[in-house]
Amino acid sequence: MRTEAARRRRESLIPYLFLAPWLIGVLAFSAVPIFTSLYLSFTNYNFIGTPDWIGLRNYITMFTDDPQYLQSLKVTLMYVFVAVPLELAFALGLALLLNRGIGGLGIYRSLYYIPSLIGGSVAIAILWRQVFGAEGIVNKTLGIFGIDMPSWIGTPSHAVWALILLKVWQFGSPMIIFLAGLKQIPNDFYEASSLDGAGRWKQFTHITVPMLTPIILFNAIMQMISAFQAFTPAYVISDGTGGPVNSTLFYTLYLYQNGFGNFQMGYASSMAWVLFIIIGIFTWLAFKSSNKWVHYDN
Amino acid sequence: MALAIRYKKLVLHALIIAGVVTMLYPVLWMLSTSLKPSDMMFTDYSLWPKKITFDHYINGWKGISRITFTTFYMNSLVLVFTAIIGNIVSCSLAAYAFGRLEFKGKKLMFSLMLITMMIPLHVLVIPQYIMFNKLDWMNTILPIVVPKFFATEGFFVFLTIQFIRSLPRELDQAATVDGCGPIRIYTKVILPLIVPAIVTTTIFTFIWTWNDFFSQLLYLTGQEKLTVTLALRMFLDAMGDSALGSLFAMSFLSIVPVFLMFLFFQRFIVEGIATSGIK
Amino acid sequence: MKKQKWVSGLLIGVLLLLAACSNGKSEQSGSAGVSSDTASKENVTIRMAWWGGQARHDMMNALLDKFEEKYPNIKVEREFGTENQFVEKINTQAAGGNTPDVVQTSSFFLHDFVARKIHMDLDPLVASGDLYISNFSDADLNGGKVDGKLYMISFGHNITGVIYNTAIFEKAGVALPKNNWTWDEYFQTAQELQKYLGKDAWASEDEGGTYRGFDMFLMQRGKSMFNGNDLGFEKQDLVDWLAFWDKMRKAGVVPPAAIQAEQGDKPQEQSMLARGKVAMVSKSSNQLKIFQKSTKDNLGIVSYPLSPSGDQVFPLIIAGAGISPNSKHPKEAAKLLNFIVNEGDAATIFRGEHGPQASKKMQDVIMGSLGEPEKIEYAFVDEMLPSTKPYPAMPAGSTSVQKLVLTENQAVAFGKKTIEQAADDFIAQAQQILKR
Repeated sequence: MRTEAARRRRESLIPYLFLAPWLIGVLAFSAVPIFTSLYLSFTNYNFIGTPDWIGLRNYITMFTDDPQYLQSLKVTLMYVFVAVPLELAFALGLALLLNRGIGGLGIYRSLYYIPSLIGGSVAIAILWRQVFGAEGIVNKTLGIFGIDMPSWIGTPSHAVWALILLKVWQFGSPMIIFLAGLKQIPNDFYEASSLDGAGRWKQFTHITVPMLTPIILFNAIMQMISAFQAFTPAYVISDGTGGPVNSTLFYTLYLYQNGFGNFQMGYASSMAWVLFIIIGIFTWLAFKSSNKWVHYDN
Repeated sequence: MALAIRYKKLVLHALIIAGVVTMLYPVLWMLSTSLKPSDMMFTDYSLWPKKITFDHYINGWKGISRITFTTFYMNSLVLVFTAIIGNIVSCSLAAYAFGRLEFKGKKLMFSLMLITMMIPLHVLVIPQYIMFNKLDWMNTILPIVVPKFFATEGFFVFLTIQFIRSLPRELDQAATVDGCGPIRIYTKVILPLIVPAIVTTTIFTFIWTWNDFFSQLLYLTGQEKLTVTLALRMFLDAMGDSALGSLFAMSFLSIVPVFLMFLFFQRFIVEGIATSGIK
Repeated sequence: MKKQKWVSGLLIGVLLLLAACSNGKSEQSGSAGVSSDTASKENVTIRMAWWGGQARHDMMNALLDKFEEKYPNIKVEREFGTENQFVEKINTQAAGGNTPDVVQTSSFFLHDFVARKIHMDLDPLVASGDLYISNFSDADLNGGKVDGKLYMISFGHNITGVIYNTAIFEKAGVALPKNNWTWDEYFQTAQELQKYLGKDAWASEDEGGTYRGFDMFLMQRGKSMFNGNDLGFEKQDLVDWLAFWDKMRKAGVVPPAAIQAEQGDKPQEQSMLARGKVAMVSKSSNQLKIFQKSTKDNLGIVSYPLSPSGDQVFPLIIAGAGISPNSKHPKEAAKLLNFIVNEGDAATIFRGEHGPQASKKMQDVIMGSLGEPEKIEYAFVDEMLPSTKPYPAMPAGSTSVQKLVLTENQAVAFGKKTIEQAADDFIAQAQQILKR
């Protein structure tokens, strides 16, 4: 009897054996860091000394006394809320086009996906610097049409657009998700509505879009979260400065400058938490608004 | 009527192809520029170089003051492959526990895993940096790869769980009847069956780790430790536009491994994105 | 409840583990003190980091090869980058306790680097005879000190001046500038040059964003960028500075904002001066020879413009290197520094890269073989030396404040802010950074 109980107990431990690496990982690399960073955000920790508790001072400084911070917030919000809708519009448009059964879907899908594959790399950021430079191919092309443009990278009002276009350029991955979603829409729906005499446009607005809304929501949230955290393109294109005139000072770039350039890790931690909260709020808003526009089957 | 449809189709194809060309034009231009002799780079803007030279590749490969791209590629490959092994082992273990085994607190831990997937990197990175610094792991690949051995990329755990759940339970029940314990079921039954999930994990770990810049920038500082990604940025600063050819040559080469992965494992990538909806 | 206890127990465990590890490390670094004289014949590897462009990298590699040849038991690992990249990287490494043993430094970084514990007090190594500095000039010696302690071994000294392209002056028929010229003369010269240069080249770079220039401008007014932990000037000073460069831009003698912004932090080889895009740029005197390597036109150097009513003073810039306090081989690191500043073999390779060396003896080694650009440089430094003074101390965080000069000048250049607004913003943000 006793040995049986012991065997049972031993066996009941086996799942935890499988789980052990993950459990340790969650604790050491997520749980402990997340509480530590929350704590640090209320301190003036500068990496050399010991952290002193300064209450909400970092958070107050950020919003009342740090124009660069507000600028980074502005740049990032503009980037997210211009680039993501544009990206999704392209993704949806192309998905609809490719979904019309014209053949070659596989190869087109792959070709359009290539930018998503490499868009986040340093190589592409380097390329972008050239493409949108004073003598870059974009300006050369515009020149043919008689449009004279300054260097995009060097001009404050244009630089962020080069970054926005870089994000939009990577519409391939949401496009693939849209394509998968389009396949899920049963053909009967279209057939039935055809019998009712519905035209293309009506089918699009009454069947396709409503059926796709859950996927639109999903794509929007995923792309928004990733856009808020964009770093590499701004860092490489602006040489780590966020210039010209802080026009490409992404939130994460300013966080990096504070945390790992000035080693104001307390301040950087509060910045990270505010970002976390901002992302949380927008995600929550997206979900909250979803009962108004997202169509759920069941 | 049939003609009209065909005509329409043709227009559609033309439209889509025009889109592809516009999208890929910058990358093609990079490739073609890297093959042009220096004096033609800014005079000849056509995509087909009138004269092809591999000088830029040869010069670029020499790297920065004696450290060649051979070193940088080796560094990147070691980093990437260690990360892959870490992710495969740890994520499949955790996924098996979540997908098949019963234990106390399973629901709670599962939601914990989903939550960790949502936490932005930047909230964790400062304490992690302090921690790795205290462990004396700076300028090694440990801060990047060790977490992978502890299933910190919840996405891969999730992906594998979904895959395991789709497998028929009869298989492990049969194995249980044969007297197999959970460990043997994992190694003999589950592992061979989840190969597609492992392949997907491998590909995405490869692409993400290869392209990753932020953590490499933080943790790898020594010249001899630089990865391809970091070396490129260094190259950009040291050479800049005066060596545009070499810069483009090395940039292009740096995306080739990712291309190759894509080419060979396209199906897994597309399915991976479509089913799990990740970037 | 039980679960909670279990989790918090684990948390504490992890923290303890971390604490234990950190203790272990600090003990280790503590034991590697200067006094241990064990490793003199053992094979050791030390790391050295410097900044510069390709030409300097090649020279440094040759120099370090020579050192390894003479001291076969010491291997030197090399790390380098552009100046901005270098500073960022060294700071990161220092924070990680992973600073290279030997780190290049200069008057601009010295105070910040000492505060960040990137440099150690070298006096014990001087006392033990590992570092020989008795034949150093006072200017070089004093320039390496912070609070009376020696932290930097000078590789040479230089003075910021205006490096100019004589070919452009000749073609434009403009008289070459003379030392101690004034801001008005500078502006006039620029205008005359511009008449010849036309639209695609400019008399000078837009230097409103260079904090070195601004600092010299302030010194002529008897002030300085920093005063202890605070700013050392008034808003009006900054307004005047930004206004001068605004005048230059409006006169079209400096590149438009977008072109200047794209120029960024490029090494000498790719600078607008080397490419013949500008006729003048203010840089450290030692860079004359480096620029000269990248252009066929002959270059010259002249003092930075002065205000006729102000102080005639220029800061002396010392470039050199320090040793990291967590170096495990301070003796070998000292050997390397000693080699660079005191041995003839080194001098013939190093060739006063950072300006006339601290040791007169080493100056003599290369004096006979100096090329034309070096002769011009040395003559300039010798002439200006009497009107120099040591570089003023800078507080921690100074590097971030220095960057603000660039940002605010850009903001004015792009018409994003008025000069008044830019000056107000600068002062608000600078004080905020210095206070943090």
